[in-house]
Amino acid sequence: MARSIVITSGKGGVGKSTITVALGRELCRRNQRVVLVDTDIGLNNLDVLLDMEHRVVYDILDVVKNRCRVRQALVEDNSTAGLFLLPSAHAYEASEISAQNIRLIVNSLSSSFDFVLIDCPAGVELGFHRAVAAAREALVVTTPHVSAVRDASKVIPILKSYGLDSRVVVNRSRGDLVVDSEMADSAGIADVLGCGIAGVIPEDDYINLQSNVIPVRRKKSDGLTAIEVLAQNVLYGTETVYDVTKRYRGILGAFKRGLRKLV
Amino acid sequence: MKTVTDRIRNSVRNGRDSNAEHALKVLKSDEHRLLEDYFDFDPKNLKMTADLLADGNVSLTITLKAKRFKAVGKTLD
Repeated sequence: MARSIVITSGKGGVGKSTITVALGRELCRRNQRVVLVDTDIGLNNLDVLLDMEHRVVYDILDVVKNRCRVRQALVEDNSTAGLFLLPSAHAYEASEISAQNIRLIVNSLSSSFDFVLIDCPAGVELGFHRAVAAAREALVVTTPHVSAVRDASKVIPILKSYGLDSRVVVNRSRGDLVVDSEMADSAGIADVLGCGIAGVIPEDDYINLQSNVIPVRRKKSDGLTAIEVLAQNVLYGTETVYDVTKRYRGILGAFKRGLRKLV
Repeated sequence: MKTVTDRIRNSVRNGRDSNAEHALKVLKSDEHRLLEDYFDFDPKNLKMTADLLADGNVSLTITLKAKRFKAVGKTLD
């Protein structure tokens, strides 16, 4: 049976979809069979991030309406073999899809995959409940900013009421600001939220470029290393924290921090 | 000195408190609607407090000072 994990946040724009795609790809590289389920009905994003919006034939609404089988609606990623997407509906017909529908779809995918990653819409409205009801675990994505952490703190008790095992992913953390105590560190955020940390992802241009589907030559970056650590934590249940401050400590680090402030 | 984490911690705490206060307000308005079928009272005299106990249970206390007990239909005649 697959592990069904909902990637949620409460606040929009914190990087749920980007992390869903990056984590899915990384798990695939570790020989896991992964399917991404986009439950943001009407505001589909994952197909765009995976550069497959022109290859979508059927979507989740077609599956719900019995116009196709789940397998027929899946689209495989070009760049990562074994990574599939169940696309969200293009038209805004969210009311046609219930939590029970999503749960049935996730259950039917469970036998063929190791991981079902459910990309949750922002907010705590119907779409959120629909996505969360189908999952058994949750990754709560937040940035180190006060508004995002506050929203995450409101989402975590709801996830607990669903009986989900939740862990936090701190996205877009800036090591230079953390060293200067101008940004909250992951330990502080975990303490405030009362949740374990699944990953810390630094602010990284490479991830930004990748999410715009721009081909980039650079093969290794801090962001990608942090995603690898996140995938390892998800896979094995560990809580290894990627140190975003390591580049900015010491004399050379102080110089880099100074430079970053000047630019 | 107040750190960034302290600022976040305060904001999260305030958010939780305001959530609880909001829930209590909704409960109070529901209770008011129910009780006014049975009693004549000044809304100021309806008091409601909720305490979170150490064992995780919630103790809810509703106090009402009513002017008159209304007859509801003919059941109280």
